[in-house]
Amino acid sequence: MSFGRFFGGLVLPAMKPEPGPVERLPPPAQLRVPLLQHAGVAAEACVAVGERVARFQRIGRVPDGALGAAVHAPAAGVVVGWERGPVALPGTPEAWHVVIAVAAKGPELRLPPLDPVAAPIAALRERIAEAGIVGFGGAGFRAAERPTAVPRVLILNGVECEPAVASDEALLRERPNEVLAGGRLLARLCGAARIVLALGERMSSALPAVREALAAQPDIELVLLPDRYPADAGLPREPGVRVHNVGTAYAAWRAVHAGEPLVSRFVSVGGDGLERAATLEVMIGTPIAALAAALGGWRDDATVLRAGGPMRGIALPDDAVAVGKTSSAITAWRERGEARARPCIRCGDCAQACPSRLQPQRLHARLQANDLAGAQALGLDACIECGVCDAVCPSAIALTAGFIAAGAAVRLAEHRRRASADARQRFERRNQRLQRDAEEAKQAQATRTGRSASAAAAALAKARAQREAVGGAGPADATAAGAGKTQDAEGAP
Amino acid sequence: MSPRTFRDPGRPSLRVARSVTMTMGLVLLALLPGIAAMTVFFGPQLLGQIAVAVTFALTLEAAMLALRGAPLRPALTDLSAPLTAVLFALTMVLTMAPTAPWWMSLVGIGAAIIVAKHLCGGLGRNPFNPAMVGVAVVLLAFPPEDSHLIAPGPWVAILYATGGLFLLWKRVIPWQTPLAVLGTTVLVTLPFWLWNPDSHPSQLAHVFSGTLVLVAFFIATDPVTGCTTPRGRLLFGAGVALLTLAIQRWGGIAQGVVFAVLLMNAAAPLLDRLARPRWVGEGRRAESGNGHHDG
Repeated sequence: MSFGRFFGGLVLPAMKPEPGPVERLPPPAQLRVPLLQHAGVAAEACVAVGERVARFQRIGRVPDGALGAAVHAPAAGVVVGWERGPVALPGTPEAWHVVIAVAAKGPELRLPPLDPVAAPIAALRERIAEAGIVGFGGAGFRAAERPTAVPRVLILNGVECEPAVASDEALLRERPNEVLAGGRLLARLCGAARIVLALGERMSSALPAVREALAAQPDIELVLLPDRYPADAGLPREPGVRVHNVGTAYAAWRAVHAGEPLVSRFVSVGGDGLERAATLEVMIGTPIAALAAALGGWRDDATVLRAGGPMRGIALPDDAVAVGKTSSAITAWRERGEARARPCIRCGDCAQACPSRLQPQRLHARLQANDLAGAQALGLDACIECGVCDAVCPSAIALTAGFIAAGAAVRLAEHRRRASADARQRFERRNQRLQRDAEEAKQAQATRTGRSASAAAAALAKARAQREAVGGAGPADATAAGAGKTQDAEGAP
Repeated sequence: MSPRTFRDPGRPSLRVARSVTMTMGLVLLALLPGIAAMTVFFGPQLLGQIAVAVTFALTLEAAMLALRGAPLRPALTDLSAPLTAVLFALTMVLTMAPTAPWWMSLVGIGAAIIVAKHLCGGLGRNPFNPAMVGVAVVLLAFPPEDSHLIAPGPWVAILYATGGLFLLWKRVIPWQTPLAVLGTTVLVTLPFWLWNPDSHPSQLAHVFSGTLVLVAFFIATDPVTGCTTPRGRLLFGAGVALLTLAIQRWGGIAQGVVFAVLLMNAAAPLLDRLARPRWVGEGRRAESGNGHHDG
């Protein structure tokens, strides 16, 4: 297992906020809590407009059998309405938000604390699902339901290689013991015997606190990765390794030890579109405008708003978007004389920098020629969408955006191909079944004329049962199913 | 208060790249010491040759852009046409005569800008190095009577190499190409010279001809017409060196380097294909869900 070794990459400016104590941002008058905050299916609202909610009360539940995560009220108050709008997730999909008018004082609905060592694993797993914990890294996996194979090593990822993002660093600086305890808990849950805490070399403000915490727990290994973007490309990618973000570990620990569902998180706010940068503890559902206001407002020339850092951060349409469980940072950027794209001169700078050792200039040429298969043959699928090629391109070509779109096109074509193959198979099976049933019925009629009616009824029932089994078990497209569920939720309030 | 809207730039908000204009400008800057040395050797008329070539190049570039209906400003300011003109003028002077008449420049630059560059699709799409196409056309159309290279002494080579090292230091050019051109030349000629120093010129004579150094650092490193893979660049440089020696030895053309570059331009896409590095995870079976990352 090797750490920190990868091809290419870039040394980027840190642009991190000053490491001061993390302030808790007071809740705004209204919280807009998204019901979709992770990759998967949106939660269904389980409160009505006008209903009083307690802090930590569940306001969104996972639809039956769906891959989702529960959503809880970050503060006590009254549900005043519903809004549909973009959420800070890749592709900025639209989802329903529960709008809560925050009360100055109100009850709390904590879950009973569990003993992380003595409690049965099933109970811990259930608790983490109940608390709505999702992976804090951008993808937002639900922490309770990671892939089931037992890993040997759990890596606690606190690398944070994007400029202007320092929420993990702040968390490790302020609450290292709880992160480590959460790591131990997650290791117990997945069965990993070895725990490695992976941090960036430049996280100097957190290292003393982390080292002190680790002195009492020498079995947890500390690995420092060089600060070369994208440093997470230097994490081992092999079977038997599971990676969890340090924020996930912290949230899991709070859920088990303090009975707190996930309702707030550390968010770095900064970028060159803001005068000041800071890491704040923010309630989920806080509109981004409130974060900017706390730091003196956007600069007039800020034109790009991102959930995340400048390289991979998700571009947001406006600052009404709410902070979600995966929003490690909110950054605003100016576009300084961004040149319009010029022709590719095949300088190969992108190939020198690509951590996946791809040749972006050739992929780009293939895609310009509409040759998806050719791009795949050059390794399109290995693109990790880090944006390094864009950053170094002297011709200012938007390479990664093209690769992301092409990857989506490839997946869509694959999905369609599979769906049509499945449909054909179902059709053929149905035909066979009908034929067989008809033959059976004919035989039955020939041999036992008296009981033919009941035989046909039995065949029919069997056919129906089979059809239901086929139709119901189909692994329906999660997003599509989610959209359907959301529509249902719309009617509920 | 209505929310403030933002836009999606479709690419990262940080850029660490040098612009095309900057790259071309650095290459022109790196040529200055060598040009100064050549001016001392050939006289100030060299500067006149360069000025004429640059003027023709910019004029033809503008005309071709207008004919193609392409915007003028970005292409005229990217310094690619002046760089082509300067490289053309320098190579023509080194391989033919410092006294070439102005219409020879016009023919050469016309071939370079019109045929080699714009008829092939413009900057970035040309398979052949425009400056070398221009020199080749002039060489074939007006064969020099004295078919010997003009060797302007070691200082020209040394100062071009200095400029080349500057480009290496600034990471404008890759190290593989010049190393392969010069290294292959020395390695291949060494046994012949050791075997019979009287009938074979020394390696230093090859290297210090000036032309080879100019080609190694400034012409074979043209990104558009060369290789982009590291191993491809090594093969490309070695090919330029071998073909130059072969054309000089068996073709009897002293200016073999011009044709060597053009032949290797044609081979570059194939070399890149053969020398493609394996991407991370290539050939490995898709991992099961176990390798999931939540970075």
